Amino acid sequence: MPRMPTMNVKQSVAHVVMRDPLGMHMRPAQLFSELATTFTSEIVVRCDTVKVDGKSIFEVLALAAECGAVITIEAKGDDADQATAALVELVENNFPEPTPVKDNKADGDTTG
Amino acid sequence: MQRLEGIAVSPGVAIGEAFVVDHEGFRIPRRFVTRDAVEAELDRLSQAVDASAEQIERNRDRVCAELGKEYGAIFTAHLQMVRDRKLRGELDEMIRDRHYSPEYAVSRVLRRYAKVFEGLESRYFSERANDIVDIEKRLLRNLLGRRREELSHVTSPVVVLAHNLTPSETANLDRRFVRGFVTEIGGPGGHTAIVAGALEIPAVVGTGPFLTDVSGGDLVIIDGDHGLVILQPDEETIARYRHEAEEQRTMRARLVSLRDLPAETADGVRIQLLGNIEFPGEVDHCLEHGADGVGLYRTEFLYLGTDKRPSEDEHYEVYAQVVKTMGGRPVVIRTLDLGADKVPGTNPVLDEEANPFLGLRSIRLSLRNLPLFRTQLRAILRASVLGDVRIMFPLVSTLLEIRQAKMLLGDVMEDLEERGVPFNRDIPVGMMVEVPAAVMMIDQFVQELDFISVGTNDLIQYTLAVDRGNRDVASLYNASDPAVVKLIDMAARAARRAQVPVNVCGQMSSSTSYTMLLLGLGLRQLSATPAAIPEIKKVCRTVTIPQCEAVAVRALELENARDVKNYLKEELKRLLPELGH
Repeated sequence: MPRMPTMNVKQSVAHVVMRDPLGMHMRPAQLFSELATTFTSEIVVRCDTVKVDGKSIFEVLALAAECGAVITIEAKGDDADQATAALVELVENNFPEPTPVKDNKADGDTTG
Repeated sequence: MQRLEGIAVSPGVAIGEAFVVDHEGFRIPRRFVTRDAVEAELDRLSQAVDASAEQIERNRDRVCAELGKEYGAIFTAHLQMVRDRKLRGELDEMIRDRHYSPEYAVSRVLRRYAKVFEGLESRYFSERANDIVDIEKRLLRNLLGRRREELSHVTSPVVVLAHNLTPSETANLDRRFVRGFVTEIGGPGGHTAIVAGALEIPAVVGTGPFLTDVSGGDLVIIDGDHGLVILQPDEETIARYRHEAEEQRTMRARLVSLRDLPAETADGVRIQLLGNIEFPGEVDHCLEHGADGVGLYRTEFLYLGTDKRPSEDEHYEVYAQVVKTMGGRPVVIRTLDLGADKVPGTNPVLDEEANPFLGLRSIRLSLRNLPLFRTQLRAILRASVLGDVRIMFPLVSTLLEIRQAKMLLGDVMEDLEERGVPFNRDIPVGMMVEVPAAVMMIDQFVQELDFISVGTNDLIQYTLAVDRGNRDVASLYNASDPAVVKLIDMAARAARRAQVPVNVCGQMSSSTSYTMLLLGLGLRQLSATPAAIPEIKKVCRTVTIPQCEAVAVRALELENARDVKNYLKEELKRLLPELGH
């Protein structure tokens, strides 16, 4: 059987700016890696010269991406496009809670 | 190579792989597993990860419910960390390809991660190292289970390195595998030290902190003769100590060959050599070393390390075990010899004693807590039908105490008789002579007793008014002090006049330096640490009674401890150069 040409592997690259004032801290890193894990594609995240595995919370944290930093998301695999799109959206929307909000928003988030 | 100095509490050299127990009782793991254990180890890791994830989830749910969602979020992150596939991949690879133990792999990988974070500039990120340490500890806890118990389940030869060991942990060390131990804290008088001596394994205590410098499986040398511990020894040092250990083994083997020969002086006087024991298991050491019986069976271990009083049956079980194993040889059981602070349920009367050694302890405590005392007496009496059991009361200072104790013993006998429980009505009753007042009144005491036993440790302490745990005065504590020698002489003479057997137990009778002196003072019974018996036997079989008597006469003329000590050393060296240490 002929080897599958690598050209056929889908690739997708996107750039996005960190907007969370604390940067890629624990919660964002957790949400990011959790979402990344739902895709079959290989996901690499870069910030400056650091390049890490987007599916590992340890590595994403180790990016130490500060507020205002540009991060590059590269996906390689069948669902590469969906993966980058979803991850970019997550960062752009500043890491909202992943689960559809069941609670009545009115009584929780309008304090102060 | 790193050398640590501590306090030598049990002699000998041990060389072996480290089994490390840290401050929190974590066993610091060994590094490698065998090839055929890899699958099982991977399995163990899986289980630990699952267990950790479950615990974190439970924490999260509880925190969310109690404090709110924002606080629970951190646990969601932790959860993701323990389930992190990258982490898992690295761990699996280390176990599978490098044969690391899961514990070692976890420590290594997570510590490396933590280091990365520590190196980050932003304080927020550098503090994440703590979260990683938290994950590491959780995984280790789940991998190691109730790891303290593992100490007693060691299955390969090791040396144990610990922050501290309790006396019962020490007592439960398996002599087949544990070759020696070192603790960061502890002193020479501690119970752990006594137990180490009893176990006959080299031990050093009080080295100060060093556990962070070792990991499981490292080669460590324990020099119990000089109180040294050597970490990462170089080849030359290992070779030197191997040689030393070899020589010690040869010497021991030579002495063991004496085991089945009687302790008889060169001129044919039979000396009875008995063993001092603390734990029932030590009867085996007595037999191995050719003891004629147990001269001092301390019963304190029953009360230590527990917060409830031992029941009559618990007493009985251990006594029965010792008596049966000794098979007809005498076993002298000493009743409780502890201070009130150590015995559960007896301390509320006095909350703190200024001078515990002069306070409510030993026979005094027993006579004030009759139910406790009766329990022990009943158990001893019940065991008395199983062999040659004798009963001994400690720290007696007045005749009244011995009369009270005997009266109570009679009482307990009546009880047993009524209940139809068999016991030996003629059980020999004796006392420890360890208070100078008792020596002064010894002629009266021997009239009322079947035997006496001079307890030198306490006798020295009370005679010279020295607390040997106090560094400033410890040098005054000396078995060679002429005052001590004179008191032993008085006790031995009185016993002989009354034809009552007299024994000496304590560290003094365990040292070959004093064997000739004691024989010369008329002792025909010595009770010693089982390990010391072969050497003492060797001395006995070399000397004659007139020789010993001459030594005693001369020693009694000397005026200070140092002269006595040097004189005894020289005499021993003259007769037995190989023992003169």
